[in-house]
Amino acid sequence: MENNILLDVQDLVTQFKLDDGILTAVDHVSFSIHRGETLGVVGESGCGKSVTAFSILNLVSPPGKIASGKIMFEGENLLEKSKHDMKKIRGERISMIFQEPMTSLNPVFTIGNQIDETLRVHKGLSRQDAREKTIELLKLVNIPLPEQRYREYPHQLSGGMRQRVMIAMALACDPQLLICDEPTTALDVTVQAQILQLINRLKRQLGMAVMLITHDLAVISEVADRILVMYAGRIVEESPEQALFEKPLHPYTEALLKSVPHVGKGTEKLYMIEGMVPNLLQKHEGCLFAPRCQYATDLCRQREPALLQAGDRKVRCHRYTQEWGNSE
Amino acid sequence: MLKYLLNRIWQSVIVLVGVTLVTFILLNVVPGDPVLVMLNKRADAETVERVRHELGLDRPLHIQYFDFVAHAVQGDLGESYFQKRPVTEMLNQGFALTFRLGALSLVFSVIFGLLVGTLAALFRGRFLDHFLMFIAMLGISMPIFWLGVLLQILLGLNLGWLPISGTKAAGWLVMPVLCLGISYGASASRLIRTNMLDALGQDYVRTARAKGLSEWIVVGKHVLKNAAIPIVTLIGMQLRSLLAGAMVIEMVFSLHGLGRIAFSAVTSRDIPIVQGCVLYTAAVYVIINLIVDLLYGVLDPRIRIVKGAA
Amino acid sequence: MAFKTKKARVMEELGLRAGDLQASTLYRDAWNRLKKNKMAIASFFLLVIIALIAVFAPLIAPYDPYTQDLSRINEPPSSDHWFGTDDVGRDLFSRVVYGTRISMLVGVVCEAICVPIGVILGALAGYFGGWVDAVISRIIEIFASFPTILFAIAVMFILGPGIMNIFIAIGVIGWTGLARMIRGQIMQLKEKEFVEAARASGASNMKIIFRHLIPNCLSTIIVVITLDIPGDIMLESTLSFVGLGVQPPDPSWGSMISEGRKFIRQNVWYSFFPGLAIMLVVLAFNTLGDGVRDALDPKLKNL
Repeated sequence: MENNILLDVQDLVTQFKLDDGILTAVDHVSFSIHRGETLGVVGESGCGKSVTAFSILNLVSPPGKIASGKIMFEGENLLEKSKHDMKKIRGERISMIFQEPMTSLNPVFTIGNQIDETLRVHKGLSRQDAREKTIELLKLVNIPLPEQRYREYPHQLSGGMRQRVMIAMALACDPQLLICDEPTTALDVTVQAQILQLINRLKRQLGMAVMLITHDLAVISEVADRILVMYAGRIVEESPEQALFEKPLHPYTEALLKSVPHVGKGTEKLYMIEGMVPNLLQKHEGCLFAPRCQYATDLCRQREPALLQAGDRKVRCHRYTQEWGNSE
Repeated sequence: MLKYLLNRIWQSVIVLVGVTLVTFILLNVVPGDPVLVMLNKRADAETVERVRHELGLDRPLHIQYFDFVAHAVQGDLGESYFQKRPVTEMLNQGFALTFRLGALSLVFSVIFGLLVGTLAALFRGRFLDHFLMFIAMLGISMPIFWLGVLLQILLGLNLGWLPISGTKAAGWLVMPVLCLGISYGASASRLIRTNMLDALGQDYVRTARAKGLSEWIVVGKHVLKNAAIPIVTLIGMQLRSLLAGAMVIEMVFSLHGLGRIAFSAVTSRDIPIVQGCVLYTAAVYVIINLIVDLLYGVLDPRIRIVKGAA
Repeated sequence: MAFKTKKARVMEELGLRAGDLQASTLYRDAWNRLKKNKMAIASFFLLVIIALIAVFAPLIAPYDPYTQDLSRINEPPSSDHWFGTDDVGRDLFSRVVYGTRISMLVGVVCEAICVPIGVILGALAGYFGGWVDAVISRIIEIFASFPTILFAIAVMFILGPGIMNIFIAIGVIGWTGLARMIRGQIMQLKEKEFVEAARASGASNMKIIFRHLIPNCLSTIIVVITLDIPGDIMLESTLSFVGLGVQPPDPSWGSMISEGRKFIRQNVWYSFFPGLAIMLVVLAFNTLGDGVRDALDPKLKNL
């Protein structure tokens, strides 16, 4: 079992030092990803899910900084790695694709050049070999006319095609972990499904683990094995996929689920979560979700709940304290 | 691409015609008869009339203008009132020096600007950044002719390393180029820093880092080529003001370039030369603009395709 | 894409929209940002001091700037002549003090000429588009293709030398940049809802332009003015340096450097102090201008 864990994040804290205070974007987050598993991470924008992903690659840009915690990847702490060693991990063992395929590719270099580059840096391939492998990769992600696309620039491709290029680039060195940060958000609905299927197929084909970050539960329901729900920099719920959809524990997860549109339910009005994401720069007391929570009690407003565990599920909510006891 | 090019050339022609028209009108409504100035106010009325007729100044203004344009198109900008030499010849001679000075200074200022600007961008917000940008700000705020005088005092008089003026002594070009290079390099470095920072903050830089590229490749390849696009425009704009700066610097170092010719022509009210100078420099500006636009296409594939298709 | 503030970048990284963290008005925000910029504030106070020197020049200058003393020519700085004396024995400190008047005036008067031309032409081009835009854009381009210094010279040629004429010459050339900025901004603004609303309520085109659109460009205008003034000052001193601006014996810093240049072998301080004065004033305006721009609109970073 222990050996099956690919990535183990422990007590990660990532902070941004701003003019008007310190913003803790990721607050004591712990989770793990098993080999070949797809972990979904859900939450509204600003909940720290993307920052968590960047923290794994140690790519948080200033003024952001990883304040504490451990990121164990195959038994080694990535936060203790030298810059040089970290470069060998990025793009080779852990790859990442981003939300904006429009801007994530460099506009002034050809598709081929950008994928070749990864291969040549990590695998030391010659120009010719890299070209062959790149075209193979473009075929793998179902890009028609790969030889022609190889010579084209990003702006000549549609959004979906660009995201495929990004995936091909990420897969160039057969990574063990692929982090997808909102990979379908900027795309059309039909294209979204195709990209998700592609990621899913490649995951099985190549046997890699996937960390899929999204604000849209519908996206995750199709591909994730396990789901992490984040709110205001904290994990509020962790659960296997099916269990979460059947019985969400945290009021926030419940609200998220209600806001997912269901096919066939027709014109029914979509549920909106009231209120705003809390300002993390301000001091706060109690549960961070309390101001928006329909079940909130005085206790919720005074004391922040701990992350409770029962079986393979975890939740951060006072409603389960009685039932589950203090387990953190 | 061809269509785009033709369109740009057509626009440039309109601008040049506009420039001739504005200059012509400006210079010909001058209070004070140039013939009188030329003849030193002592001549009798008959001589004045004769000279005026010889110069064609007794014709209606619009005929004079069309005549001027017709000749200008053939590369003939008339003859200097006083020196009795073709204006084109004088300007070509002067421009050779000004251009040499300007081009050398441009190279120097771009190298200087790239080094300082990139360094500052990479150390953004840290001491080195603040320090370099303060120095650059000093360079921008210094009048270029004053910098010239300071260099003359320091390198010429006190240290005796370089000649103070003229083109005779060896190394005469060093001080003027240094002077222009420092001044324009300072403003280039600020612009380059801004554009490098802009490019550094783009998503594709994050992608490049996530790919595991070294910082050298990220900055030297991905950032620099993108930053180069706005930088080329800035350099084009800079070359224009650099030529103007070169003209002023010629005054400081007593060099016989375009600037000296222009300034002395204004003082002596030699209209054909002033007119020629303005047209000449405007033409150079327009040509620089065209070159910059074309370079844009070379550097930015997006423009290349769009314009090619249009 | 434009350069972003630290906070904007972080907020974007976190996926937050502007306004999520705090809602406050543009100008109050800008003022708060400007207050934190120590260099800009220092520059502002320096400029206030220089403006006071210009106003009270007769009280500050120890000597009359025109009085010659041929027994004391080309002296280095001393306790009676802080900046030394020139080739005819005039007190350089007093002349530099009087020189502030011309430099400060240049900025104010030139912008008073540039701003109306630039704003009106830019607004008309941006608002009406079509042939109006085509014509105005071409005019802008023609004026921008003149080498500034040569155009100034041509204007000086017509008007003849004189302080007022310098102002006019610089003012007549300097408007193109502002016109371009305003044109672009009006083009964006005219698509906004409030313009639709004004039009629906029967406002005339002129009323929309002057009452609704131009006030919305105020921050751009402020930024352009503060960043243009040092250029105006520099151009005046350059013209005076090449002998086409302020004429002797009036004390302009540019013409003083030009005079001093002839005596660098006798008195290096002659051209040193006027140049230092130009540098200080231009530096202060540039720093303040940068600060105001960053504070008001970080998107304008490329100006």
